[in-house]
Amino acid sequence: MSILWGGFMITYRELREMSLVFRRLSSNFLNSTDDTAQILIQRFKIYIDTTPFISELLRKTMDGVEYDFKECFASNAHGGWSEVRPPVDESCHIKAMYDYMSAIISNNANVRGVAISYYHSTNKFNDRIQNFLNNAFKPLIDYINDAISREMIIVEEENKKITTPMTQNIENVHGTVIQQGTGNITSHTNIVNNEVQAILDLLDRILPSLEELHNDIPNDVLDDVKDDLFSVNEQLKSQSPKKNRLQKALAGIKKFMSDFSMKLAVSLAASSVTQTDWSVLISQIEVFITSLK
Amino acid sequence: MSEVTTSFTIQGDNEGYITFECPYCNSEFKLQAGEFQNDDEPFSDLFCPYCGLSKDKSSFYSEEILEKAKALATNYMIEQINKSFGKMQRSVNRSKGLIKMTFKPLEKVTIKEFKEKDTSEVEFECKACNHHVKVLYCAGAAKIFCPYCGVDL
Repeated sequence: MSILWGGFMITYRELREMSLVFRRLSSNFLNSTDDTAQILIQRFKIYIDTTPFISELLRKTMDGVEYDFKECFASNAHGGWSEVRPPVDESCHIKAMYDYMSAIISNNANVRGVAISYYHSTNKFNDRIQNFLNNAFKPLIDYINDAISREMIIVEEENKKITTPMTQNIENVHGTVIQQGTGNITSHTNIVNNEVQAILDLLDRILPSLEELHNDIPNDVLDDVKDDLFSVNEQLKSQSPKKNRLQKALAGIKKFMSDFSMKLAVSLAASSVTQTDWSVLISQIEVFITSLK
Repeated sequence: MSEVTTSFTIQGDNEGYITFECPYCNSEFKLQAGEFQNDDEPFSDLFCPYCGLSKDKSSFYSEEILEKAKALATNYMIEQINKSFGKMQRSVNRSKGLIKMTFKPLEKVTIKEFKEKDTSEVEFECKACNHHVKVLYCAGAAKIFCPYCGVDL
């Protein structure tokens, strides 16, 4: 089932995947440290600008809104400290957050430098950066997250309406049987095949990139994650993929990501493979596993 | 400086669920103790089932768990201070000199025992990872996410 959204079609599967990738990216962004904040703010901005559903949502929200972000993010406002003063109108607030993020990135401003201009009781840089990102950009993340969830609920409801139960007894079938109550038929086989190909393409890109990580990550850890990636590859090419093996391999890949995400962020900055590719890979495998019985 | 490890147990509800709290939206949800502590399936991050954002699992401990941990640490510290000052007092008073020492031992803080209550949350099982979660759920009003793998339920 897909619906027309802002001039383009979006399926439930695409929404699920987008939701997961966006939430992972947002969480990483909100938990930025002094070492990673500069990379993660750019990665977040690139994702919301290049994902059609999100960029269209923001365009619609900000269209025709005249608001200077400096009113919301006032510098030298309170005894020399900067201060967040959110406007009452939500569209103005969204525009202010988006423009402020754009300004930080385009001015090549240091996130730590911006963060410490806001008052916070601790002197730890990481705490101050996370507090700043939470105060400044969390409402933007919530807004996008809610919009994706709302859309998922709508598509889910539409799915329920279209899928009218129909009982038919069939004997001796050779080949594919497609039956329907009302509405359009969506061939599930094609969607799964496309998903499998997308995961295989990602694996083809990610596996060679592991060779570039030898200086940053221990060899035995790299060998373990390679085994997991090969296991996923093998299961996807199999006629009957094993859910347990995929779950086990996925757990290994996720552990690798969580243990070495910071090193990956730095190492992959110069590589053609990004941390987003890893996140997309994980979410696509998760979605694929849910499609298995 | 030495490191001291103190452990304590929490009694779950009738189905073995323990309450956790999201560090982003402060919403509460319940996870099965056995799944959360399963050494065969280690994990480092949890997703909030309501807002869907993730953070390291220790950030999801509820206020009550953190208070209990702090109380245990405080009591250990008080015990050590009382022990040291008691020793010093005995040593000073034993010498029978001009200086006498008295000290009033610090009182330990009360540690509340808490048990999970059986509440009206709905139990979900994730189709992707087979883990369980109990949440307050209103069908059609919000999405619920798996705390372990993050997919929508």
